[in-house]
Amino acid sequence: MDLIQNLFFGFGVCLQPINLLYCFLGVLIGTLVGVLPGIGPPGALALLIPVTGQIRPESSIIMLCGIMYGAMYGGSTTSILVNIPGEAASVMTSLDGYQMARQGRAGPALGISAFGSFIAGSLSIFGLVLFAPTLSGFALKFGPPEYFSLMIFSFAILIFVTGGSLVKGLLMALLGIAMGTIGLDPHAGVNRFTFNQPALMDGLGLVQAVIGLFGVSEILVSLETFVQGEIYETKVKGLLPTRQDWHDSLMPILRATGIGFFLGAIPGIGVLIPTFLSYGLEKRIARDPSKFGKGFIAGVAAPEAANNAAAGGALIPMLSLGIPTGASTAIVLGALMIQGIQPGPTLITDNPQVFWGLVASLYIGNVMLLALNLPLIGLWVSLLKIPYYLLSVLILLFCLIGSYGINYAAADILIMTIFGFIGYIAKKQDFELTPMVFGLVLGPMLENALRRSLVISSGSFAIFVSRPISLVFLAMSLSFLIWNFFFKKRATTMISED
Amino acid sequence: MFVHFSPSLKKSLFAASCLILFALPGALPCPAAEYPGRAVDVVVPFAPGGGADNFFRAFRGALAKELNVPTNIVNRAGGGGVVGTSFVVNAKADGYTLAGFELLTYLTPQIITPKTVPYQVLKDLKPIAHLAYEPLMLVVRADLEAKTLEDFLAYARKNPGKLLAATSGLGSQNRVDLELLKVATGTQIRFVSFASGGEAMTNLLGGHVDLICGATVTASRSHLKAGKVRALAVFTPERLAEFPDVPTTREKGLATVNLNMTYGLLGPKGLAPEVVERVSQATKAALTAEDTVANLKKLGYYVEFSTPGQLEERLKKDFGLLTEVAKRAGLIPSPDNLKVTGKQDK
Repeated sequence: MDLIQNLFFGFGVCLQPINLLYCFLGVLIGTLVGVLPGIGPPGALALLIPVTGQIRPESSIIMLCGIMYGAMYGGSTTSILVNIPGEAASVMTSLDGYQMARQGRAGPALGISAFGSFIAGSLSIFGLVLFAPTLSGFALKFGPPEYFSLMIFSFAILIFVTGGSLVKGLLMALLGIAMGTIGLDPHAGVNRFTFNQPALMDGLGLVQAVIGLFGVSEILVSLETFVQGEIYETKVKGLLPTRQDWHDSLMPILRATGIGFFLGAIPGIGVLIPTFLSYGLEKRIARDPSKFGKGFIAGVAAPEAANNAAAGGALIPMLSLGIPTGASTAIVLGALMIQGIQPGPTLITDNPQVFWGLVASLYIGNVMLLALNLPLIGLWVSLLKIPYYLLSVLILLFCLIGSYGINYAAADILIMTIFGFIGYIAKKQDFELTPMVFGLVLGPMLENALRRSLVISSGSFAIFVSRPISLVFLAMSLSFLIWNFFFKKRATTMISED
Repeated sequence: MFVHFSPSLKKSLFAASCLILFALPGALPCPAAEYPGRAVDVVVPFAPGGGADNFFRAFRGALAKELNVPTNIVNRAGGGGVVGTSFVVNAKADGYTLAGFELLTYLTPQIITPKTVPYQVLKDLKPIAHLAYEPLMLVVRADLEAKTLEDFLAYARKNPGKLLAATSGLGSQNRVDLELLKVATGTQIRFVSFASGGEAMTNLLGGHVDLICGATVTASRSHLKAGKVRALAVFTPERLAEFPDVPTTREKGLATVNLNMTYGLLGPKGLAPEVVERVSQATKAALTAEDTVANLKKLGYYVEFSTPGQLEERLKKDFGLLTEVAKRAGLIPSPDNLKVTGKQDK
């Protein structure tokens, strides 16, 4: 069959020693970049563009894409170990991952995240090859009204996913949305809360906010008690996931792969939303939702699988249509164009070695990443044995480097620090941080989608229900909210009647 | 015959002569270090992967060859180009930090949102060279009824306010070209802003908008060839060899719709004339080298060299033109033209 032949051809390209080397370099750099807070795939990709000019196109795309999904493997490491997400993609992982680490189960957490990422990555290759044309056509149907409804749906899930007090969670989300308005108004060019500082014109910055909210605040909280010894009193129990862990995680991984791949293919969605929605889904359908947030392994497996699947899905519009889905894919497209390769519908026919070589390298890269990450688990876990007074300083140093390294702007360090204090206050008063991150990301997207939709419809709100995809998401949001508020109440009254 | 030197004297003499030998070069008047004596940074005020960034990366090698030193591209994105440009404004005027710029995005922030721009475009940076331009086209979605430019304009005149154009921001090329088109043809076309040209093209492909008045050839090429979008006009003075069937705006009587992406080099204000001249010469040599021209052409960039003086003239002229367009199109935000619901009737 044609497909098998093409795959063989692709493996032939990728298994050449030079391409294997570039694949390895890519996933290695990606993992490192993922582990370090702040510096994300776009930063590494930008640094390596000059290098790609000297090597063949298929080698450069193999390496660059390796960085992209490699970062998804590495990002979970700091989330799990020290509750500091390496990037937005790993924010959800920190919820249960860090709790697992506190219980001495950092090894299984890291392990399941590596395996989950591997399964998701490998499955998304099949998705890429089999569904690319249909999925890209479907993704194009997402215009501003569909984005709006998808965001509304995400907010509906947020209400459910928030552990603890609902009011506090919503408060944080609203605060996040408010802070998300800082910057240049995209439609009319008006400055909002920028005080005429160019540094604020593009908004506060998600990465600086995440590092500050999670990382710096953690350090500040720990300053209150003089921590002399190790951060974890309990002994580290085992390094790999147990049978029970696999039993709990396998279906979540598969479901999250589907969600992540599907949503990742929509341009502009990013990785936070797929991880969030898959976490929300697992919590919703779990037999015992209260286990989430306290160190339940599915809460690690699902987001990790989702973010790798989303990275795979993001390749679909990039390869089949030549459309960037985010900052990383935009850079990869740029690098291809500089080398004279025209991305788009003609890529697969004009440059088959690039396309099929990449597809094959996705599988080989994932194998390499698994081989790279599993032995490292022991190393990472032993890092936890460093006395906290040293570890915290190191963490703070990496946070500083990470936030400065985004734009080489001192303002970013200030923003990170301010968010650090916000996070500190939040932690002391028992407010959850994830809703704020969510608000920061989703608020601007929601507003842009709303305003653009209204421009398209010349002011009519009917556009949100007249378009089928948008209608479906809105209906799902509504039914979700109704179910939660009415049926949940009935469930609790039934129990109390016993 | 030889005077007997004692060992300790020999040692001292040896030490003294070493000292003199090493100190000598410092004491001699040294020739002024030739510019450029070390690596030169070209600051691109946009994120990697964007159109401007791609151009400067493609051009970098040729420039480095002519300057004979490593030339690096440094990205300082933010504020629509303001952050990176102000970085160069405040940099040392020694010629090792230059600004790569795109003409429209360089001039429009000061016109539209002057309070956010901490420099004066015509004064605080010294023009060095005009490098190349990237043609822009009017592209429409393939299933739009209008097949030619005339049909399109007729449709626009008959249905004011029905057509929707995608733009990539308030002062972007596709917005300004759209306004120029509206003024030249007396039509009313609505617009919706997206964050980038890529997003605009994605929405055009999805059929959520009807046209982009100013899409780059590079961004549109594969979609044109696949038949997903149609090009109705190109804004260059001559037809493009790659698309000989696409008429120019000039031949259709719309010569004022002629803004393309224009790339050039600027330097900090106090740059020495010799340095400016040296860079200018280097760019001229780079732009006339045959392989560079062919390479850039393949990527969609047409080289066009100007001297510093010519560039300065051009900047002044375009600044005046853009201010006019901005005023007439209501691009300058005021309480009157901030409409939330999107009804655009001007």
